[in-house]
Amino acid sequence: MRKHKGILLVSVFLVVFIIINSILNFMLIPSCLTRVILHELVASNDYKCVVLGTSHGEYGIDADIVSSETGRKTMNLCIGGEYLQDSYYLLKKVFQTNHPDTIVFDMDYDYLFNIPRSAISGSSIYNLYPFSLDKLFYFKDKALGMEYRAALFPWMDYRENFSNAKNIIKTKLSSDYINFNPDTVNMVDNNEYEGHGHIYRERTNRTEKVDLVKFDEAGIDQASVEYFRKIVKLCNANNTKIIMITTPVSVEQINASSDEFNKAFTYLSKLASDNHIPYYNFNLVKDSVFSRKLQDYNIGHLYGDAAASYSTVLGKFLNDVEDGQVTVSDYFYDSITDLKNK
Amino acid sequence: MSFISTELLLLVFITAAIYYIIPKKYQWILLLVVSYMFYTSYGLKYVGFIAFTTITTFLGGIFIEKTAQSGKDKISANKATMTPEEKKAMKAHTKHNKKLICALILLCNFGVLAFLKYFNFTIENINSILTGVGITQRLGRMSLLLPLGISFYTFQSMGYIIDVYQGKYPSEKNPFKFALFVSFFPQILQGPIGRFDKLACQFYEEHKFELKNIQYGLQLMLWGYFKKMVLADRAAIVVNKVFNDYTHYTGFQVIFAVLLYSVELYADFSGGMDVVIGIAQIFGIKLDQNFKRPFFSRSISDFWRRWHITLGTWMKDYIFYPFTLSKPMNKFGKFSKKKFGNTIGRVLPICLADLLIFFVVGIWHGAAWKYIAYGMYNGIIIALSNLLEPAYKLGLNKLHINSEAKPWKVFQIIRTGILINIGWYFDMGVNFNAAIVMMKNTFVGLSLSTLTDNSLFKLGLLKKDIQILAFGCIVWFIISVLQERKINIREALAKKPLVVRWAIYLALIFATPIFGYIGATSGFIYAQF
Repeated sequence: MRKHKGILLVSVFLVVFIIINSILNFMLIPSCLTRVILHELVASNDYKCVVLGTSHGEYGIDADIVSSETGRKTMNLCIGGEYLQDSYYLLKKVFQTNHPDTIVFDMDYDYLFNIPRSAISGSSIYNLYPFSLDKLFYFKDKALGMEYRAALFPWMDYRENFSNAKNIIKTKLSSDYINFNPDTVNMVDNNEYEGHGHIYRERTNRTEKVDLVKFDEAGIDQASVEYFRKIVKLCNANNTKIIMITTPVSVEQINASSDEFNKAFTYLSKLASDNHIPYYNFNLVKDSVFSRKLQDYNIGHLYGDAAASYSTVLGKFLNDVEDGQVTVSDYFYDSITDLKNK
Repeated sequence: MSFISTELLLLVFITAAIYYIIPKKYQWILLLVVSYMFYTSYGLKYVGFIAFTTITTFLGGIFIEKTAQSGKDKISANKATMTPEEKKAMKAHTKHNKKLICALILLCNFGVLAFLKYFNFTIENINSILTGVGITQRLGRMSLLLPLGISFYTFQSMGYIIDVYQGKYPSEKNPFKFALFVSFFPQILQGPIGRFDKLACQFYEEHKFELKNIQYGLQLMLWGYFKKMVLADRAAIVVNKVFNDYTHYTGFQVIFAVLLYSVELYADFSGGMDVVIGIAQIFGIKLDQNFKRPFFSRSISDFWRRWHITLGTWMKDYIFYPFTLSKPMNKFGKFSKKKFGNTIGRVLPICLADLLIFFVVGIWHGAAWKYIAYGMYNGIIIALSNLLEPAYKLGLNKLHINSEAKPWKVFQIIRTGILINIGWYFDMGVNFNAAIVMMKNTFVGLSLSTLTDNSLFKLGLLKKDIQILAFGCIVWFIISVLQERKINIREALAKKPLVVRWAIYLALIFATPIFGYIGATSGFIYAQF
């Protein structure tokens, strides 16, 4: 009897803990785009082309423009803070809900290095991933190695929101939120969600700076490379073509660290060829095809109008690839040297 | 598998669930399997080292005992025919053989530890000497693995072999049971350094499920996480900034960083210990305490009796006593008594032993001169206070100071705190020279305006962070005062109504995500030894 009382007490305590934790999740975690994007993915089953990647792609690729260029409905699943393991599980969800014929993997090489080890995990994708057997594996891969706070208390990343809790609760109880309206997401002033995963960034007066970048092959996280292999394998298993691209950074940025970019491009080309997939590096896109300058970027992300131009080029390019008529030299320089000497 | 990771918690809870379900006689086997799983999670390459220590120490224990037994058997078999001299010779022979085996095991294991930890340090110093004498040739460094927890499990195992040699207890006959003693997963990375006679029986006895053990274990774990995440990780921001960039900071900025290093190190190490002891308690195993409110110490020697207690007692039992009671030291004692009189003559061998111990403590902390300086700094203070004790007592008498009066005790606590904090310059400084530069800079730029011009808030922490840090320290201080007054807080808490208890538990659970520092996760400091 005493033993049963003990177990009962522990159970009640756990229930109280779960209730409090759930309330904190509800009142502190604001409405976010990831939720809207995931809904857009599962609410439709006719996407023919899906783009995976990071915030570079989220700002740089307008899926609607790509759709109109290719004639194939496209969904942009590039999400800020999306690491390769997140892309892998997103792709699983893609294949469960849709039957795409092309997966475009927008590789931001930086995401091969800075793997989240901190409590701030950028794990909105993990947190919002629907409960399933896949989520269990996702938990094993993503949350298990993380600090326990990141796994148990998703609201921790938003703990500064206590003063705003009333508004968050109000939003979450509204029909707009229930209906996945992106207007419920509090966006930065010059950002606007355009749908299908693309954020349009209005131009500002901000002066973009050139950051020096570093590429150290020895520092690459091999677990991330393994996820890349798994992504390719998953596409193959679903008879879906996968191509790897890289959304361009500014030419000034490349010129400032050309040796490092060279090393990175060589590595990524090898990674793609080792996995038997084509790689198209839009950092080497010809000026005559898509002209971009430092002023077209805001913290490394393309402004909306530049993104529209890039998306048009990308759409045409994908169309050419699909038709088997692509002439790579029409689109790209051979090397950074050629890009410099344009 | 970090001690703050989700997988560690999951491992503990799943293991605990299985532990209390399976037949009790298999409980220790489960702990052994999980311990090796845990250790392997850091890399298979490390397992060979711990297996080597386990096997050599286990066999060493068996051989020592067999040697002793065979000596005894021979004497009893030939009791009638042996002369007293022959018996004496046989005993001496047996003792010699036992000593030889023990020395061999110590040499092998400390040899591995010394080689892995100090080889490159030695090479660097030889190269410096070569440079000094104008020789251009250099000895090459080696890329060496340093298995996790090697200092802890080596010391624990060597304690066992010395005890078996001294006949304190019989050797363990089951290699797997012995393997658990060496590898028990909560304590393997950062201690506490356990003793076989206290631990082994706990490992192998059957443990019933007791809610109290789970409750107390979880309480300790939560308290440990609170200290680590709310205090240590936050203090580390300022400490790392100032110590890593030491030429840029002076005066109160340095003092602030040094004081915060006290907070960081104590919160980190004792927090880690709380987590370790808490996990062990969930399995019904009571590990030794490693801390006893060290910042209430009235002297440096008192501090070392309260700080990293298990290392201190290990040093005392296996180095201090054997050294001071050795024949050469006896001779030295007699010599110094003749030369310097009874008082100093009696203390001098102890002073030498203190210096030796703190040299070992210093080098145990790491292969760098700064650690040796840190150890010697403590050793010299303790040796000097031993030597000067008569003069000190005389001074107190002359000044009519009651050494048991409260104000005097407070003065002693503050004085010890200052001395301890001076030692941190060596412990945390980038190197020995940096420590000296920082000491100099402490006085160079000492300006009271630093306290009012907000420059202390420009060391990486926001005002809010400092407020949380201060509040956390106050809570910790109050708890420490209560414990110092022999109030058992956990017992007192257990007597409170359920609602109060639960409120406190929930507050502790939610304290780390609400107030804990969020940043790059750093493991426990002492998990790197």
